[in-house]
Amino acid sequence: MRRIQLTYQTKFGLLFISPAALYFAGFWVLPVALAVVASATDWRIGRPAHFIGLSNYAGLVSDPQFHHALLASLTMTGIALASIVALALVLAVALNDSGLRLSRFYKLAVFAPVVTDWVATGLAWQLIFLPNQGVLAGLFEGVGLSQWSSLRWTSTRQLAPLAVAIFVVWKMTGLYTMVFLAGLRSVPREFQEAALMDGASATQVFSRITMPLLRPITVFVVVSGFVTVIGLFEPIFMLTGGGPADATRALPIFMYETFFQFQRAGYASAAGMVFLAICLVFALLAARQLPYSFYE
Amino acid sequence: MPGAYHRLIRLSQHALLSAYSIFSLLPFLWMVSAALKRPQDVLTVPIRWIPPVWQPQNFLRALLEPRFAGENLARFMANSVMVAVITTMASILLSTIVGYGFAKFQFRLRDTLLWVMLSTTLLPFSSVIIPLFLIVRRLHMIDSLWALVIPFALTGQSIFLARQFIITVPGELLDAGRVDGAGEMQIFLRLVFPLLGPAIVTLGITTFLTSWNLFLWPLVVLSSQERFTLPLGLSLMGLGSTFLVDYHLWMAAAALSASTCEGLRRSQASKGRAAMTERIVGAFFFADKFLQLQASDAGAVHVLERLAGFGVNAIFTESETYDEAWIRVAHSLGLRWFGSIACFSDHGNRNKAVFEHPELWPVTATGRRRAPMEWYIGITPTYEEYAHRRLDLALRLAEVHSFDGLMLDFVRWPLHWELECRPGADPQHCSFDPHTIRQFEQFAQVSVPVQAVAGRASWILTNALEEWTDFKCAVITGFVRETVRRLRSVRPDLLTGLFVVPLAPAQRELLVGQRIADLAPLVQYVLPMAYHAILHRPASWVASTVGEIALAAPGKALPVLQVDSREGPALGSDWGLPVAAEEWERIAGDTLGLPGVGGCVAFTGTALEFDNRGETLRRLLQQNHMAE
Repeated sequence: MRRIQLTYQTKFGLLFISPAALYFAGFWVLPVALAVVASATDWRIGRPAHFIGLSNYAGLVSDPQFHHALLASLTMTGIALASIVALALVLAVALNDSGLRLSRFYKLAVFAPVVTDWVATGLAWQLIFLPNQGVLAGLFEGVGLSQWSSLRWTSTRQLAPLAVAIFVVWKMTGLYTMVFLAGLRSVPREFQEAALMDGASATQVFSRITMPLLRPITVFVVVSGFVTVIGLFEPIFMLTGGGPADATRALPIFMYETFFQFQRAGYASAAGMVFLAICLVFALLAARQLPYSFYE
Repeated sequence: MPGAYHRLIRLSQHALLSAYSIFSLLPFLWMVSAALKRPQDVLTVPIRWIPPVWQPQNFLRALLEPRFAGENLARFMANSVMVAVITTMASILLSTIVGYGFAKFQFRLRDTLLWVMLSTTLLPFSSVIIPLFLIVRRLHMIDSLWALVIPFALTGQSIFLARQFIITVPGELLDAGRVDGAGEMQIFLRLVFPLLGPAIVTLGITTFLTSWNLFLWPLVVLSSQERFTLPLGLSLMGLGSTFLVDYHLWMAAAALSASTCEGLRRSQASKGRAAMTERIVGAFFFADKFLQLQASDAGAVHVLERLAGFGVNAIFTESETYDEAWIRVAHSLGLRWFGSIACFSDHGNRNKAVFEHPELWPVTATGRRRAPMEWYIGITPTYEEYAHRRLDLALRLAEVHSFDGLMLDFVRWPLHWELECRPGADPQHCSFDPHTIRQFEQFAQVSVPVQAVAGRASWILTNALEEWTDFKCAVITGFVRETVRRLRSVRPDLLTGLFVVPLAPAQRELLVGQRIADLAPLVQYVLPMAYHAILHRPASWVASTVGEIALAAPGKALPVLQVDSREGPALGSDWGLPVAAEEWERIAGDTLGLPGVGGCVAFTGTALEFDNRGETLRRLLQQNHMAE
């Protein structure tokens, strides 16, 4: 009887999840398998492909363009992610206070950029960063820093990665603030209240109690944030298009150009595989920390 | 905590949050202001936030003027809407089917598979875009809008979201369907899918936004401008394009796109509150009297149908066990079902808890145990183990039953206010047992002089009254916060509320520890028990008492009104003088007319049957509705 029950459950369970299996096979497994094959060829779009083994990967190792893209990706991701994590944590701690007035407004304000699209907000940020006439220039003039109003945010090699990072921070901090906030809610208040009663200061409570309890969530935010931010294409495309002089030509832009502009399908697939491998390692690390409740 | 230190923390919280809010909102403000300006007013130093000349027609021009090889933004927008709507519909159907499989069936590797699906959400889309492009090319879907729909019709995120909601559907419901001989797909479509209303809204909005905001993928697969989506069309406008001077039109277009996202998100945020804006007209029943009828009995349906005829749309009751069949009958008649749980009173079990665990028995200021009054003794709320047992019961009830809401009753310090707070009576303070006093000492950082209980009680009530009040309120608020949080984690859709004692605020806080300002934000409903006859008050007392609560808990007050008093003796209680039919009419009319009062609950539903009191309620509800 028990066996029959089990097979019934298995049969219908598998039947109901079969669309997911098809989807997963069609849009994850098959494409990746195809790309693995393509990455071992010298395929250029419109020409016959020849098997060349691991030559593409060897090419990547010695390709200064690829090194540069990797470096640009890490720089921008590093700057953006460090700021996002620090800001999101501080904002979440400030918001995690049921007695705080205006907290609904603050949450709305912090979250607003997350739901809007990269392109519409990217247009606005193009004009914000515009030298001499832009919003930032106007604000600098307003506070008497007129020497800064002519800074060419998106067209100097030093500032462009920073401009992209600022845009990313503006857009993404709200998301991770909400993740931290969900995490803080699950930290039992009793510990903190008990410590406060025992005479600990607010800073001590934060560093000795709240922070250690938040460790798993912080790890999750850092790891999944890294994968998300390093994969971003839109902010770079909207603000700098990869320039100036390749200063912001990060991995997604490198792959996009190699494939769609230079039509080097095999080489781009190899770069894609390396990128996917990097992301996969981090995604697996993050998945181990994945607290299911965040997705509610 | 010292007040000045606390104020400093608050101040820095506000400083930080408002600074960030400005950073966050400024681009939007500037976008909207630029969208309403003439071109020459857009990029000025210093910035002009208020347009010197208003040009609202910019929005229309941005939408309708053909600019991109003859296409206009309206066309792009229509494409975006079409893609997003089809993706959303497909996603709702597919992910609930898959979510149902993951939530309600047992099979090997199920959790591993779910984990794999979920892990895909962590990978950036740009990492698979090349291989995906190769597939779509092979399927000859390049430059087709279907290429934007199909890969996004099912995602790890949507599956997981659907599963989280479906897991809360009670298994009994499915078993009942199986007993009736329905096939699994039929059970899903007929029984499960209709219950997923709020889940589908959330799922739909998430999918719609993802689809609406897609950029890299359409950029890769679309080549004809007539098929462009809005983000793709917008990107044609940016710097370096041929429309350099039309900044004001860019911003108009960008604001249109961004406001669609914001509007959708706001509607998602308000969805949780939508349930509240619908007026609740409830009828309270004592479970043991009411539920004696079998739910399958025609009489049960008849009782509920009559109530629905009076305008009642919700049943309120209190018990530790419920008959799911009753709840289903109520639902089939369009009535909501609100269960409740007696948190700190065990009268439902003839006070067995305090007899078995005497430490739970409240101690009054005289140092003696509270004498039983009618059916009531009460339970001291400072014992964690007991509190946790009640919390577990609440969670179990919420998991097992398809309640629409769970109300917390007796969530307060012991007081038989029905008798003790009548004019001239003397309410007894509780509880001064050693455990509670120890907790109070820790909380308030005071030390109560060691002496007999009566002495300690009078020391507290004269020297530390304010701290004692704060302590009592903190205990109750803490319990409610924890209970509601845990309830949400098992049933995100569950409505919550709490019954509050109808005393003046200072007395309510001191005697029973219910501080409305702290409690109201935690729940959806605050139910003042405005039983005027029981408390020997005039009919006019009801509106003033309810009005005070409605001010302290804006939009959340749901007053419980005493319809009549003749049922009391049968329940072993004194419910006061008889309530005349006109008195009931006046009370219900006054209360429903109060600003910020969302409805009412008749105490009891049975009494609505007496001399047409239910009809009176129906008439008043109609008048009230017309007045709005």
